Amino acid sequence: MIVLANLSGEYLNLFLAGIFGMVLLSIALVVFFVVYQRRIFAQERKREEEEKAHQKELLIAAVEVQEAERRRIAGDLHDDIGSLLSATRLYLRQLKADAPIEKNTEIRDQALSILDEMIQNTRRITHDLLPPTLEKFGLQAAAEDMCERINKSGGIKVNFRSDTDVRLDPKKEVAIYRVLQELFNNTLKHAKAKTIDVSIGQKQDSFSFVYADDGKGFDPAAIESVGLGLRNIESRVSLIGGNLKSTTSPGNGLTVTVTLTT
Amino acid sequence: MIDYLYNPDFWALEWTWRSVSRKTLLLPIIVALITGHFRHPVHLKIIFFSGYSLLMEHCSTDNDLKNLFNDETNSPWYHLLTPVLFFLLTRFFSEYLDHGKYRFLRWLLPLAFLILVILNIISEGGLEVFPSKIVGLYSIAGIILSVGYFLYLLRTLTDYYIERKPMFWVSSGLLIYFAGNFLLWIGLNFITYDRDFFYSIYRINSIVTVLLYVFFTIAIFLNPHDENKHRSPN
Repeated sequence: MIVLANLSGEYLNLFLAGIFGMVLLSIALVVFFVVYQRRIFAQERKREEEEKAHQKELLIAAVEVQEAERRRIAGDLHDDIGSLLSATRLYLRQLKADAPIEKNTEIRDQALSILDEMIQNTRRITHDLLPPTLEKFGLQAAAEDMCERINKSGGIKVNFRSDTDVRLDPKKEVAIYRVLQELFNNTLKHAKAKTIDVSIGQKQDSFSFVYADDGKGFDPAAIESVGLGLRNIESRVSLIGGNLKSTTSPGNGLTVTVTLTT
Repeated sequence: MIDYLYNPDFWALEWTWRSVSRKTLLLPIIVALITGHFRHPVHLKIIFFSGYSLLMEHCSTDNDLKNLFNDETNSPWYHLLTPVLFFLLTRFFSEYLDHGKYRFLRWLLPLAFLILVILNIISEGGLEVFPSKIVGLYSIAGIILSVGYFLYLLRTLTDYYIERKPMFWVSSGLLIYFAGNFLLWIGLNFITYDRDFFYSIYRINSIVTVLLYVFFTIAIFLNPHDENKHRSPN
């Protein structure tokens, strides 16, 4: 059997070096764990702060969009309904019991005409707020309807495709519809696109909505106004528990994919 | 380095070191009694481990001293007492051994160790031969369990100031202790052929033992109930 004491000093040194090496290694390991743990905590804290900031941005975007929506509705009510009501009031004031029948008939016809216009405008405003098609026939029908209306306006071709007729939760349908509205709005305002492809699909319990335009695209970090639109979309999608993926760069159009579980 | 090993002046401190290391075993128990920190499971485990180690030292080393100048060995004590010490060691890590999908290890590890001890007695020449493979295994298990605890801390990320947790000091102490003793215990059967050399090199054991029980004492000082202190500064 080998007897260490009889071995040369070189081997004994090696033995001792091994022991001291292991002790030093274990001390280094403890220090490493403490430092590494602190670093992970710091990264975790940074990630949480970024997440909080992002959530705050989404909240601000949602509030801003809500305010913009309120301003638009107020504008519509004031400009369309308000002015028409004032005009009706003016006409009705002219109605007098002792006035000639022809004059009163003319005033009544004018008032009725204004009321008809008012009914149409009210229908348009409510349709914009929540289209009846969406409520009655679902997202697919409402999206198709919107695509058709944009197609009819000319200047841009919208292709719509849906391979599912499953109805989602009403809140989810409204959210996706608003996303589609916002995307159309952005494309028509800024993108100078010629074609838009909208597709809705479902695989098992995963619902997907894809919007793609061939417009000029943008750098999401550089363009603040479009960035706000995208944040609004992201806010809506996150509220319904969905995932949003947007791909865009200057000259390469925009593709937005929304996925969510049904 | 080897020159120092054979320098008589250098080894004059040998018995002093052993004596100091022996006394250090009492330190956590005394501090626990003074501070009243002996109700928390971690503190209790430290007290049990220290108490049992004292008993083991008394049985094995004192016996060894009595028989220093004859051929008798203290090896049977190591065969008999190490399985319980291993069980107490695993109990330190109940925080992660008792939960999750690996909780079967809680009983499997001590049981497997006991079986290996028995097999070792049968196959390695009986109780009279020092169980260097068993204590080597014990030290490897100690290293793995200690590192496992640190990995568990990294995975759970519950405490920012881990150095304020008693278990941090327990794990660190055990890791350094087993790392220092591993090669020593593995090579013990060879080293003991020369008693002078054995006692001189075995001083490393005394040093890491002092370190372990100083760490245990720090752990006893810390109050595990003061959870807020461990949390992240934010």
